[in-house]
Amino acid sequence: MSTTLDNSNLAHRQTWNLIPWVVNGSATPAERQIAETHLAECVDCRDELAFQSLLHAGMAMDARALNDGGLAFARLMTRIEREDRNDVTAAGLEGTTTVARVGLPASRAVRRRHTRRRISRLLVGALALQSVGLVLLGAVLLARPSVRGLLAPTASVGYQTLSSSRRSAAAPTIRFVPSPMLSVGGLQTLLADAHLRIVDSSQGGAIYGLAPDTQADRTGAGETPIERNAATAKTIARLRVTPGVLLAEPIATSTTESR
Amino acid sequence: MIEHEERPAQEVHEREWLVAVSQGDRRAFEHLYQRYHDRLARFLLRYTPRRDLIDEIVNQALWVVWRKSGEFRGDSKVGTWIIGIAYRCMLKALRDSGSRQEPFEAPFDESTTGVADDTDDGEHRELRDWVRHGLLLLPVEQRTTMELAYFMGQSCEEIASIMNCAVGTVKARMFHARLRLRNTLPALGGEISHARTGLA
Repeated sequence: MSTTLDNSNLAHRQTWNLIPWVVNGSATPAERQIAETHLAECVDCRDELAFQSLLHAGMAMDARALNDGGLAFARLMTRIEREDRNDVTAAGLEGTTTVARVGLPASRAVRRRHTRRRISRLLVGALALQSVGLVLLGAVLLARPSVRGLLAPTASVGYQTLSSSRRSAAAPTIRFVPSPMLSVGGLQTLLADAHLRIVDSSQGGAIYGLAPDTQADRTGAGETPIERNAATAKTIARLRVTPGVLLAEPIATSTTESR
Repeated sequence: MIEHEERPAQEVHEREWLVAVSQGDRRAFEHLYQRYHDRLARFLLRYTPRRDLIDEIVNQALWVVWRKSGEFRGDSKVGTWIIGIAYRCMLKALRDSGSRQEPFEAPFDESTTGVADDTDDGEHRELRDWVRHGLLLLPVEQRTTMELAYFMGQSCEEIASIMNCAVGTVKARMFHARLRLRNTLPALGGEISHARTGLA
């Protein structure tokens, strides 16, 4: 009994809400079926349907004369054609191929301009993304110890440019006079074998000041002055027996002189 | 009013015209214009007596149709899409005119509009006037819901799309409009006889 009453109330509410859409013809067939079934047994809903049908009929009664649509259409087309001409002019000024010129409406030209604008925005976006990427890549590389070592001012492998100050030359420890017959290649071989390098020379290049080549001979690093003097004496002894060497003698340094 | 059964065939034609318009077909645009000019103008006439403003709004709406035809996604009927554009153009025009009240409360009588109504039947004229005055007493949203449903033949969902609101909002507006009209119409013209109109 109660269920029947609930169903009846539900159908009543549904039909009441559906009445305007039944009246204006937009209700679906299923909705119409629900409404019609209930309307057959509900006086209130039939009364409401009649009232809404009356409203519908009253609103549809409007036979007032209107302005001529043809004139309004002519005005609109004049406006559209004027805008199309302006688009052609604008496109010509931009130096682009105009769409309107081939007979398409201005909307195509407008759409093409929008597309160009979108492409420009995409390019700007890509450029910004690329910049961010480069910054991030730089940050990652800088964080690597190997790269940081390369860029550090105390790097063991230094680079000298013409504009930068020269690497401070070591003090010569051996005075060296080669034979004029000694070739450049022979001199280079001789210096390389003895782990020496030219750090000074007299005017005219006849007498050279030599010093241990610390980069070639790393064994000398950290040795005491006595050990250094002993090594120099040993090197001089070897130079003296080498063909093409006219003179090889120690150069007194402040350390050696103090001894 | 457009009958429900006629809509599919009409919709097919209108979609074809709209596609043609998107490709710059002015003849197809003229077909659409002729189909909608009168409908839209009559709808707007219920909000403002100014014929120049009505022409301006209709032309603005159909200008948007010409420009944006390629953007029609087919989610709704062509008619609903066009009416939605016209509705927004109307709101903007009324806002721009600086007086919201004046156009929305446009009097319906011919003495103000200066145009004679060719509906001579006394009973019909009486019914029409009652309904018009009853509608004027409704809040604008409720009245527009009624106008879109009964004058423009739009469904509940279509009205929601046009007025950019939820379907539930449309149902609520319709419900309150009906209640209010039930209360006000007898006061304006007495009980309307079903037998007199023959609509019951």
